[in-house]
Amino acid sequence: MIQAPARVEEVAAARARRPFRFACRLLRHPSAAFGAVILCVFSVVALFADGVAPFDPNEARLIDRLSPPAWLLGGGGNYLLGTDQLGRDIFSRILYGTRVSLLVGLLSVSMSMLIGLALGTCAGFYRGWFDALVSRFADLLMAFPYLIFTVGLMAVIGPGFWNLVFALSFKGWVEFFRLVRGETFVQQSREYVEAARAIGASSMRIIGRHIVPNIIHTSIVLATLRMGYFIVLEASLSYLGLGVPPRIPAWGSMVADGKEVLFTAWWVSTFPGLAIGALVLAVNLLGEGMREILDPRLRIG
Amino acid sequence: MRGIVILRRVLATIPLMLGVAMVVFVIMRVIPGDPVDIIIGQGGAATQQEVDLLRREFHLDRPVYEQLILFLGDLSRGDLGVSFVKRRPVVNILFETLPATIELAMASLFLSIVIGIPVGVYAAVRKSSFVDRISMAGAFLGISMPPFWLGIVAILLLSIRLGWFPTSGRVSYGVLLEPVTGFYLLDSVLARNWAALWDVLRHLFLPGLTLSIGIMAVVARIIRSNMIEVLQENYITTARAKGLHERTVVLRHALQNALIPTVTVVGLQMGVLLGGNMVVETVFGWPGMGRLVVDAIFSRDYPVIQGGVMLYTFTFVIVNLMVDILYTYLNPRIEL
Repeated sequence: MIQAPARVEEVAAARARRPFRFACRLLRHPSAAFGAVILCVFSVVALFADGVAPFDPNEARLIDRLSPPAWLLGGGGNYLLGTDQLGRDIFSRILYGTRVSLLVGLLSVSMSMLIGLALGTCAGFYRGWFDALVSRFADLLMAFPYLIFTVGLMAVIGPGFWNLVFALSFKGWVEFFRLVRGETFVQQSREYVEAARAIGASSMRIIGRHIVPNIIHTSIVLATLRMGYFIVLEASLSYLGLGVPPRIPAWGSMVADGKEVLFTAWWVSTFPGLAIGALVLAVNLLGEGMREILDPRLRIG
Repeated sequence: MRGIVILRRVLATIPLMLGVAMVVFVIMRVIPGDPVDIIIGQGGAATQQEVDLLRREFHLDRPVYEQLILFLGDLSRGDLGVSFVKRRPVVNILFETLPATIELAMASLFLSIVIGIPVGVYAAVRKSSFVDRISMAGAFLGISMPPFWLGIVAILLLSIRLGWFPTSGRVSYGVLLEPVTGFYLLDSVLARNWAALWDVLRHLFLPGLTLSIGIMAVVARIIRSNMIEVLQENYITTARAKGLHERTVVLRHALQNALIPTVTVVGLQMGVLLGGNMVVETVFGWPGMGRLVVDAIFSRDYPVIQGGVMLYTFTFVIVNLMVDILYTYLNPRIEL
């Protein structure tokens, strides 16, 4: 997914001072706009889950357990998407589950990006032993398959919201680091950096005020593209029982709950899975759209 | 010259693997509490003597740096410790499940290549056509859907509703198959047991397909974009001008060149394949390494988790090494 960063950076630099125009172009890009709209809907749902959800997501009504969706034959009831084996309303649980998926995705991708930016700019700017050290550590982390690594880490530190964010960002910064390091190295030899140096700007100022604004766009695109993957990873961990504690509704663990009643109640795991797919699809559409606008040469779909 | 380059690349994996082992060691020592307490917690009351014995067995009576040296020493001899739960060497347990995992991984790699490449080529040749749009939309969906859910939907539709495939396992009860190699496909062919072969194939198909969807989508997309690029090259125009058949132009001149960059992408996807493997094995009750590790997590069998994570990672490192070597043969201009 990471291609020709030098090229992206060329185009991105030109657009750097035009965030508003960028937003306009994004909205005119049909699939990106579509993704953005879905993402907005999910964000609103996550924010106002208390108000939107018809039921308490954790309230078990055993008498209504495994009742089919309301619109289905024999559904009846008030449960739009049916109930699970404890009689909890699946629709309400999906609405609340949006919070975990969005927050974990957003937080872990932001953490990865911040760490990657900080280490990447320093490594690319100062080079030397610091660069060598961090780069070797990054190579080491790259050697692990992503899910295997996070599963191993979660097995040790145990389930939990912040543990999840920690485990996902532990390896997530590496890609940002590599991208940022390469770009910083290119920017460093540009005239504007030389000019800033000539008027006596400190290294930190050059990095923060001059280099970062010129390279941040590619990181944001990468962040959007990675966020979809992080959401799938979070869902996979939840599915395996390594996500947030069971009392918090999460899509992955809902799919896992439904696996046990697959023969009798297909709706229990089908709908949460659809929610994961829809959210990831929206994020990916937005990310691909951003990438296409920043660099039309990379157009794939 | 190429020999030296490859040798250097091979040698570079040794410090990498050593580093991987050290990272795993450090992470596993973060475990809150004493592993011995965990084992005893499962086995009930124990005398002080037994506790001391266990501590010695896991080298817990030594300082940490000595533990690390002992750990690396054991590792170099292929000793990954003893399972807390099964009380057997972890290496043996892992290697018993390895054939099942490799069989599944190979099957899905095969499916993703056999389906992904033709779809990508066709979409590129008929760019912007209806088929192109549909298959690329499908590929985009394939990248976005979580594999465990795809597996569950496959079970729902194809196993439960239609009854075409079994829902779990590698082989039906009652099918007699002597495990010689552990690869059931191979075993059934060797035994000339065609009924068993059919049964094994039916069990393999759904998990294989589920695991392959994501990679298939990536392969189709990358082949398509490479093909579109290659088809605009001058040598393609030349080939067409020579009056070659369009099929020859596409398959011999264009595809062969479009395949080269695809190899690297597929290599990188192996990481996704190995991770997805763990999830898909859990969904389909596939008795492989992934499910072993997931089970070990819930019984807090740390030596098995540790060994599994390392074996997965070493496999990934070696696959990437092989991809890099293959790449030098496909594209002689590239230096490692």
